[in-house]
Amino acid sequence: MEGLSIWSPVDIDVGTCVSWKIGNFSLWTERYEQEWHVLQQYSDTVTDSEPVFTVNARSDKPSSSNWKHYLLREGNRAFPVPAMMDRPVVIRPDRGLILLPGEHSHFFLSLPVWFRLLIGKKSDWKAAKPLFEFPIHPMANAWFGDPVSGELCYFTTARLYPDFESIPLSPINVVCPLWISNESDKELPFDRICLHTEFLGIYRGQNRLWTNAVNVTFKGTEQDTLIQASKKAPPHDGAAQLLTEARQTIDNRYFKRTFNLIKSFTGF
Amino acid sequence: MQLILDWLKKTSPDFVGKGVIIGTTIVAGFIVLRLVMEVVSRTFLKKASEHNRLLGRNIIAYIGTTIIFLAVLRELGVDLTTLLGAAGIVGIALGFASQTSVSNIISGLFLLGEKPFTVGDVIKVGDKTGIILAIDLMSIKIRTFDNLFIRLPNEKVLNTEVVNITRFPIRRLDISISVAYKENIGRVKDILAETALKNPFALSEPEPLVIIQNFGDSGIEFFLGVWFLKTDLIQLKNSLMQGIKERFDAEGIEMPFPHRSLYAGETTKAFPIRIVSGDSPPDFSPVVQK
Repeated sequence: MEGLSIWSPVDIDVGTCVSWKIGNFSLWTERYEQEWHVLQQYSDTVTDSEPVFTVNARSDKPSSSNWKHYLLREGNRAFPVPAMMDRPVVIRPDRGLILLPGEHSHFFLSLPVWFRLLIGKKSDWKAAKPLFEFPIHPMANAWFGDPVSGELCYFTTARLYPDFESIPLSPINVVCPLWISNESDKELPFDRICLHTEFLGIYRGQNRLWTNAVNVTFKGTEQDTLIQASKKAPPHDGAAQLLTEARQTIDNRYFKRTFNLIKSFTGF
Repeated sequence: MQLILDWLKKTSPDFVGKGVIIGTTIVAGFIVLRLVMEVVSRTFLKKASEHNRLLGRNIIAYIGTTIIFLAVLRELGVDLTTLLGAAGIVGIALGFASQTSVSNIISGLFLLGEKPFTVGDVIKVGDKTGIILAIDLMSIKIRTFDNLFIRLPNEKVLNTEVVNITRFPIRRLDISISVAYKENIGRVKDILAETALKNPFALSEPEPLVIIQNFGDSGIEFFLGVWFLKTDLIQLKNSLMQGIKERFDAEGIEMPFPHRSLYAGETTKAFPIRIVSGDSPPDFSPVVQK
């Protein structure tokens, strides 16, 4: 399976066992008359091989007590779709950057996606029912904000790319165009960025997956940051087809804390 | 029973009628009381915490029951003015006798105002730790983790240091680790931080804290502070301790047990030691040096 074809629908008949293998993530799915059995596994060995979809003999399926059984009466078509993570993510940039007052900058971020499986009867995936979703790469947890009123996020380190062509092609990563403006009268050293991925949908480009563009405006340490997520597909790579809608709809303007300016707020 | 019935008939000629009125008063009173409690719970206390909702319902129940009781007494022909007058005198006597109860009630009101915890919090009072089941006027009730029910008088809770374990969403697990003096301090620090960051129950932010705490009797003592979600304490503690031990074993890092070096004095030579192997008991006879 090459490129984004991993996200193509497949027909699964009763008694068929299929699997998706993506990096160190394996997903086994077996269909019964009114049940779908699902097992996700993570191996310790990290592989960069292309994602593989296979139809397996029943005897090949792994025996495990972790199989989950979902009851679903109808539907034989499985729609694997990428999904954004279910919580915000704290991103530690690969290099410390300082945005001067009055300046703005444009970056591209590459973030891992989740694997969501929808089951439906026709080609219309919008009518299909979500069966489950799993992270392809389990991420570490992080707390963003102070220990009393902060929020639970995922944590990742990421490179801030000035142009998207430098980002390696990957069907399991999504590119997020990010605009950052510093409208305060102080320098903005961002060593942590909290990206609220729950407001981002996923679009299918020619070679990559994309989120809608995010515009973050920093107005000072005393104020929350203004976040604006575009409601259109990003104007790159022919990204036009909406694969997955955002988990939460966002008004045009949204205020939230986004930058962590204090490296160690907890003390001893 | 007959004596009671005779007394009632003598006191009230219309015994059946009064009985019906009293019965109706009790039944209707409790129905109305129940109704009032429901209405108040669903309107005024709708947005209140579990703690305040419970307290509000209790106060309504106490007041309502008292009113029903007084109404029944009035129907029985008891003069309430006399009763209230007597109650004043009895009240003074009871006041002396029930100082502890009053103290508990007042402490309960202070706790209510201060709100150091709510129903469902995990607290530690003295050596008792448990989940709060109820906060009443006289006491709080907790369930310990080994499923024991404990009633703590409010006065004691107010006068004792109370630790609310689940007040904040994240906590820090503090572990002291000792390694042998021969080990590389920088390497040990890196290994501890890496082990903590790899643990799925540990938070990557705030970052784990590694501090060289002390040069101890038996080794160099390190402090490892790892942040976690308040619900993950047991999983984190078990997996982290196991992870540290396994990683130290794999890296050949010694975790020393307490030991002492003995010197008999500056001018003497070291004690001679003879290693005894096999199953035979050790020979404690003195060794003569040549």
